[in-house]
Amino acid sequence: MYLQKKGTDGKDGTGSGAIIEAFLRQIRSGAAIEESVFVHMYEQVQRWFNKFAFCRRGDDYLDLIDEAFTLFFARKEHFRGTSAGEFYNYMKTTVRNIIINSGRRGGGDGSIPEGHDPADPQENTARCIERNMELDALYACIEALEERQRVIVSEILAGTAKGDIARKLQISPGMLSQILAKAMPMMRSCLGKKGFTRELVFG
Amino acid sequence: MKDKLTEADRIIADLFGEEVREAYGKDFDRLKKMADTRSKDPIRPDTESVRARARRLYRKLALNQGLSGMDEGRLAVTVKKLVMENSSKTEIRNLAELMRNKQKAGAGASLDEKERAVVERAYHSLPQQGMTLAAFSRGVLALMGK
Repeated sequence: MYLQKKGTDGKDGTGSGAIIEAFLRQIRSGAAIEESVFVHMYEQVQRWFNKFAFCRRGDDYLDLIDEAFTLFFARKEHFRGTSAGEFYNYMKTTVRNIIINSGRRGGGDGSIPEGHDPADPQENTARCIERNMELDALYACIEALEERQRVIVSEILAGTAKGDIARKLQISPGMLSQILAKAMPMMRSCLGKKGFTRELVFG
Repeated sequence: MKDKLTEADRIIADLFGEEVREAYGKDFDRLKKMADTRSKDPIRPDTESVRARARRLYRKLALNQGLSGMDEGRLAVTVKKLVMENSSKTEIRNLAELMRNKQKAGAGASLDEKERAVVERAYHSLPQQGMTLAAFSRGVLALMGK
């Protein structure tokens, strides 16, 4: 089995997938969102991307997360996903776009190119101008996986328990492991094609 | 892992963390250490700052008010659905009549005191929807404006 059994967010022993899906259900129903649920979501999202987004200060990084959530709520009607993995992908794309746009805002004469929407017209606070190109390459490789592999990998990255993923996809845990076992060499090979082939030498 | 470890393995270990410990076996810790060193000091704000930020954003976005954050169109659809589902209630019938009269009269999108009282009684007659009175009133106005 390539990806180890986990199903927790690594902090409090609670699977985060179920909480994320409860949060998405609350949003769809239009019900008020509990503060504790939102705080948990915020903590989770800032953990997801703290290696992907490089900011100069901790506050800048939290500005980025604030902006991503603000954008999500401003456009929540457009988000059709119901699973933690879909939310992970949506937020990853949002964070990536904000980083790119904040770089554009910070460069040149600071003007926004014609026909280009600013990431968040209300805030424009994020100042994360560097990003991890290596993880960006890996995300692109994940996008290139077969659909079922991609769904499973996204759920794993979102912190959903493997048992829950298997149940949701109506497959056995053994089948889930097999699918993952095929996905990992594909990601590795894809990264290899992108030039990440240098052999590691451990000190 | 039979193949030689490459940069690709370090990147995978960086993103997936403990999830791939089993796949890399004894090499995992070395890979992870190398990944952490290469990660250009990722920002890791302390837990209290993160929670304080989250609570601030929660208040700013008024997420405790549920549907009040919705756009007018969606509020109108929600209110229409509630009115249709609860049309047997007197308070809701009164509200429906008020809306019909206002639409016929082509009145502006505002409510006087008596009309607000009708809306309020209708709101309180509904089952709990996680919707504030302000949001419900906005939905009623949006529906009359259609």
